Amino acid sequence: MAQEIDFKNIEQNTFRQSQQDGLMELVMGICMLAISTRMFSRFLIFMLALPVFLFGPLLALMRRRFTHPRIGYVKLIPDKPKSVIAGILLVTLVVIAVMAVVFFFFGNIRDFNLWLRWCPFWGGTILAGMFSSLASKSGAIRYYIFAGWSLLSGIVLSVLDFETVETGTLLYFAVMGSLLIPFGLVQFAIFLRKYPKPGQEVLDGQTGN
Amino acid sequence: MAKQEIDRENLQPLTEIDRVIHEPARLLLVATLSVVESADFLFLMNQTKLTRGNLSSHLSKLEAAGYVEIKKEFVEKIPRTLLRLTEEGRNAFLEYRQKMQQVLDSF
Repeated sequence: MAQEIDFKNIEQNTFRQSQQDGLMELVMGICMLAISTRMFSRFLIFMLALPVFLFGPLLALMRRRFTHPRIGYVKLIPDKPKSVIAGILLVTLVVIAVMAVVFFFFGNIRDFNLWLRWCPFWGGTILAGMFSSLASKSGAIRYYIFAGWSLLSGIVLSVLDFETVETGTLLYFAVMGSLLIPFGLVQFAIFLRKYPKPGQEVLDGQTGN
Repeated sequence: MAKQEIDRENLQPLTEIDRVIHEPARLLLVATLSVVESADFLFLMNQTKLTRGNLSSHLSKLEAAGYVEIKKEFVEKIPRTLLRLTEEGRNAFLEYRQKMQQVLDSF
């Protein structure tokens, strides 16, 4: 039992070390803010797709530039894609089922605008699941806070009335981006201060020479 | 007499313990590498707090035993030494943990 607890600690510590730069939160926040401004497209599906494709390459680029020269490079064991997709699908199905029951008794289940209005709740639930997973991997409390905020924002922005049905969704991304960007920037500043620009001996350390 | 035989049996794995992994610094290295897919030299140096020379020496022993694979590559013209646990290394580590657990459970 003690050995298993130690392994969890090693895994969480390694994950925390690799994420301490704050860049994941910063890049995620930037992508969300970009979605909210409809920078990429007026069509929701493209609005979401492009930042999703940009997130990975942008994060990798920034880490190559700032993180790896300071604390080194680590490739974590990735989640199985099937597990991730299954998780998202499961959450989506549960949310749709809950919404269908609520709309059936308290609204009009055939009103498409009603379903669109509750998109922030759906997005909030998925993000809450993602942050909870990060919290479990890292042992960091902040991800539980992000998960709670994500869900709460989703519910509030779904309940409130706006001029158009998509306003709530766009506001949701703006709210999440506004939380993640400052947090990411502060983490990044702390990280740069803790690990100043590497000298030659550190660069040699990358090769063991 | 029976109690002595039982104790001897439970402590038997101790004599067969993998001494390559059993050294504290190498145990920490193998444990760290077991929870990641790969890591570079600098990351391991930060994680284990070993000096460059010390780390290099332990990695050489692990590589000689076939437990660690060391790959030197270039990323945007910057050299990087990438390390990962081999399949043999993972199996050896698992076996080591099982034997140590058996020994510790006997007390």
